[in-house]
Amino acid sequence: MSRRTSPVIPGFGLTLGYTITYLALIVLIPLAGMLIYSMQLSAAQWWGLITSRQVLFSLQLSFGAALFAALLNGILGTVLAWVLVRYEFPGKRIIDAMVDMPFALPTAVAGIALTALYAPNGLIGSLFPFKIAYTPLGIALALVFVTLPFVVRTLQPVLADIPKEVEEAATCLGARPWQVFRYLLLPTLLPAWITGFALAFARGVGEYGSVVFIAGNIPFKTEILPLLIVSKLDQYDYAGATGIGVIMLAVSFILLLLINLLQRRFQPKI
Amino acid sequence: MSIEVQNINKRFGQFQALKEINLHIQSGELVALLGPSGCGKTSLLRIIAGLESPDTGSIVFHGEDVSTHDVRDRNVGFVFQHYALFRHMTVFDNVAFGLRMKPRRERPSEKVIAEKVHELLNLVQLDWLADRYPEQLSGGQRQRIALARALAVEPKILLLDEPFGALDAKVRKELRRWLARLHDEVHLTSVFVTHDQEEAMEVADRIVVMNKGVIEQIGTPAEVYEQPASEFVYHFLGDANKFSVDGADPVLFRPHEVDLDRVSTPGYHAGEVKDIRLLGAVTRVTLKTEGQDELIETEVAKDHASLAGLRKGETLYFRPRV
Repeated sequence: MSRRTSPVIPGFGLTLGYTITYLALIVLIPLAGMLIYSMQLSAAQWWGLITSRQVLFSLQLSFGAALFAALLNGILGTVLAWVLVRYEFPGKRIIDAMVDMPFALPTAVAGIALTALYAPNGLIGSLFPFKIAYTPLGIALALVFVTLPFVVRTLQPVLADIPKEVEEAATCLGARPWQVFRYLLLPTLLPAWITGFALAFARGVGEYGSVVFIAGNIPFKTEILPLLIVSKLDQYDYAGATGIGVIMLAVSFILLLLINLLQRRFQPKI
Repeated sequence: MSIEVQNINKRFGQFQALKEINLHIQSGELVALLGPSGCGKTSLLRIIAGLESPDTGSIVFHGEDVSTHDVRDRNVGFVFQHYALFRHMTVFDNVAFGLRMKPRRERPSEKVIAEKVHELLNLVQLDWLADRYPEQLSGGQRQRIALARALAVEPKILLLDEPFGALDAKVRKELRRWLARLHDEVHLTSVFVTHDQEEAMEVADRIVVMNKGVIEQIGTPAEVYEQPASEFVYHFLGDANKFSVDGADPVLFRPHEVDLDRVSTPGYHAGEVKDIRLLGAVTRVTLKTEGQDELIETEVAKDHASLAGLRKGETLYFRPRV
């Protein structure tokens, strides 16, 4: 008898090799290139970059706005996924298809449209007593728009998979609707919700196209990190630009790692 | 606690699922709702539970009209065909769920809950699985856990929807005997839905035979088998042969209600042997008679004299015992 247990589906070596090659070409090599390029910066330059008020402010703004947008989409996306899975109503297919629109639309188009609508004299902006476009709120709005599909699309299949009987069983056992949500639906949905949240957050941090139009790009007010990178590039400060890129990458990596660990905690233990 | 079902009608769109259903179930009784799929038996069970609301009619528990009561307030235990266990909870937490969901002032302490859960797990003989997750259990074990979970809140009525439908033949046999014994111990008014007449006959005190949204007959297993109220009931409760001689009204008889002989005897009819199957204690002989396309199935003890050396193609003589 052979001691090596071979899996039923062959090709583990081939697929793993392909995976690693692909990942290296598309993700690892460009990122490594960025790291190497940023090595041109001296320790003092690094320190200057990290402690620069402009970078620190943009860092805070970018991650803050992305976090806010991801949280808001976490709530709105849950409601949207719930309605799309649980109820039948006319036009459901169309609404379902529209959820993906923010992905298909060029982000610049979205940015321009949102700016036109939410500018102080715009159709919607004029209804509010405070400014939306050209403020951090406008940035968050653009991010909410572009990251909308993530939470909806990750929750939909999980929600659809929860059998109706599970809720009926709980109700027969005396559980109130909020208890059914708290003790049955939430634990089942949480891992997928965190995935959707993490995707939306990561996308929000890196978003550029839609934000530049609505942000107004005022330093210390509405200047996001990707924009800072582009302006460094415009000034031929390539090392500085990659430096900021590395900082963004490091912070994102730590945050996503934390989210992943959190998710593992909530994964059903089997 | 007795159950009174009064004039229940239920429609799903164009489909009339239940028509004028009236049914009285006595306290402590174990009743089977038996019928083919789509006959409305599950709808009736769900209406009794309050998971579905009838278009007209009312449900009365022990003299109290509960028609407008919410599922939660009816205090029924419901067991689902596919168990509906909570996958992310251990067996213990599943059984404890109902007790933990009670409003604070009615909720027992965790210590009392633990005692109660272990008592129930012992009742279903699965206390050793308390820390497992549902996915680690076999189908039969899952269904027993589902039953323990339903019993935890001390329901006054137990409703089971095809409780053994998803299990394999041997396990379902064991489990239904076990359910009948359990019912003898706890004496909870119980209603279970099944499409398996053997299951209904073996477990139930009374059988409600349903077809196309109406009740065909209500009676003890012996009554519905021996004195079927309609041809449907007759056919549904066991295999049946239809046999007519020379265009006369056909007679109905069950495969075992037959005498066989190798030689032509007055009153016996000739049939060509098409198939011989040993089914355990009995042997089934399929016969083809002159002037009838429908084959006749007969079952006799496997050591019956007429079977000795019998081969396909030979002629056998039979007489329905009716």
